[in-house]
Amino acid sequence: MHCRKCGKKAVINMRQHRLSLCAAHFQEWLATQVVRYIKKYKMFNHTDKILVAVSGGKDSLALWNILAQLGYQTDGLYIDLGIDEGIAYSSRSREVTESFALQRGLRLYITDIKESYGESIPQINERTHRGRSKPCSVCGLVKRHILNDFAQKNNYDVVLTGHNLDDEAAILLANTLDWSLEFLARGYPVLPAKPGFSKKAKPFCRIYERESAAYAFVSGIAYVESECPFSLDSKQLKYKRILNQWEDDRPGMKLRFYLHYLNALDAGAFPWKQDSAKTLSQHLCPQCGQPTSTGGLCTFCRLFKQP
Amino acid sequence: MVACAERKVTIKLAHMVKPQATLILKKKSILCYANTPVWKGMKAHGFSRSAFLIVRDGDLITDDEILKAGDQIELIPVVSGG
Repeated sequence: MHCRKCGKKAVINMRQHRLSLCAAHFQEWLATQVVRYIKKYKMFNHTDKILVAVSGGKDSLALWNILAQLGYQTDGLYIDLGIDEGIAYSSRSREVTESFALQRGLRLYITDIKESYGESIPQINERTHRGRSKPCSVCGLVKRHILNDFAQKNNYDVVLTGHNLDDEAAILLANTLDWSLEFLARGYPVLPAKPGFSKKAKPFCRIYERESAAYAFVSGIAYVESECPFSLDSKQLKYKRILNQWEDDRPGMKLRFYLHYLNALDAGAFPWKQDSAKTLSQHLCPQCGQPTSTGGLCTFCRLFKQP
Repeated sequence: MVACAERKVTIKLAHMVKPQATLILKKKSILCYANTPVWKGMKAHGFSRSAFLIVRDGDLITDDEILKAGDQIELIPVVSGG
C-alpha cells in the first residue's frame, strides 16, 4: 500500500477515511486534523494559556507534541498517582513525561498526590469502599479535582486531555447502555468554563487510538505502553474491545457512532439534561473551595475523610 | 488403527512444511502462516486489526502487507484506558 500523497510506502492505512499515508504525510495530516477540530469546536486559540494533562501515555504526549509544534502556549501537568504494583507504573510514567518535556524545552509541573494529600491511589483504593469496587472512578475523581484546582489557581484558560475517539466511543457506549442521561448530555468535546471550573477540551476527540499511537511511533515519542494495573479489568477496556471488533467488520463504525451522537447533541437531544448540566447549582466546598453540587464537603474531600 | 495413525502423521507433516511467520506480542511469539496479509494472520489468532500497530524490522507497516516466511512481526497494542 502506498501513500496517497507521494506514492512512497505507507505506514498507516486508515480504512475509515480510505486513506493510506507515509510517515511524513501522516504526521502532517494528523496535525491538520487536530487544528481542524480545535477550530470547529471552538476549543482555544493561540492567545490562550493552555494546560495539558499529561500521563506519559501516547495520547497526551502526542497531543502536547503537536500543540507545541503549532506554537500554542502550553504547559503540562503530570499527576503522580503513586501506583507501583510491581511494575513501577507511576515512576516510569513520570520519568518518560519529564524526559519528553526536557527534550523539547516544555514547562512541566508535577503534583505528587502522596506528598500533597498523604495517600497514593492504591492506598485510597484499599481504604475506601469506592476504591475497592471502582478503582478507576477514584483515580478519575482525583485527577479531575487536581487538574481543575491547578488550572484555577494558575489562571489557565483551558485544560486539555488526550482523550481520543476510542475513549469517547467507549464512554458513549457505556453511558448509552446505562441510559445515563446526565452524562450523555455532557459528552461534548468542549465543556465551557463555569464559576470555579476551568474550560475543558479534548482536541483528539476524533482521532482514532491507533492513529495517535502511530503518530507517537513515527515521531519517535517514547511513551509508556504498559497498562495501569488497576484498569486491566475495567469496563472501558471491555467496551473498547467490542467496538474494535465491530470496527474491523465495519470500518468507520466508531467514528459514525460518535459523530452521530454529537449531531444529536447539537440537535438538542436531552434538552432538559443539557440545561441542567450547564446550570448545575454550585455550592463551595468548605475545605478546598471548589464547587460542589451537594453542599458540604465535595466528593474529593469526602474521599479523604472516609474511614 | 495403523491407517488411522498414518493419516495423523501425514496431516502433521503437511502442516509443518507450510511457510510460517512469527507474530510477537509482548515478547511472546505466535506462529502463523506466511503468504497471507498480516491482518489475516492476526485474525486467525483473534487479534483485532484496529487494536495494534504492526512493526517489521523497526518500521511501521500497513496490515495488508504480505507475511513472508521467516518474518518477525511485532504487534504493539494501542488500547489503553481505565
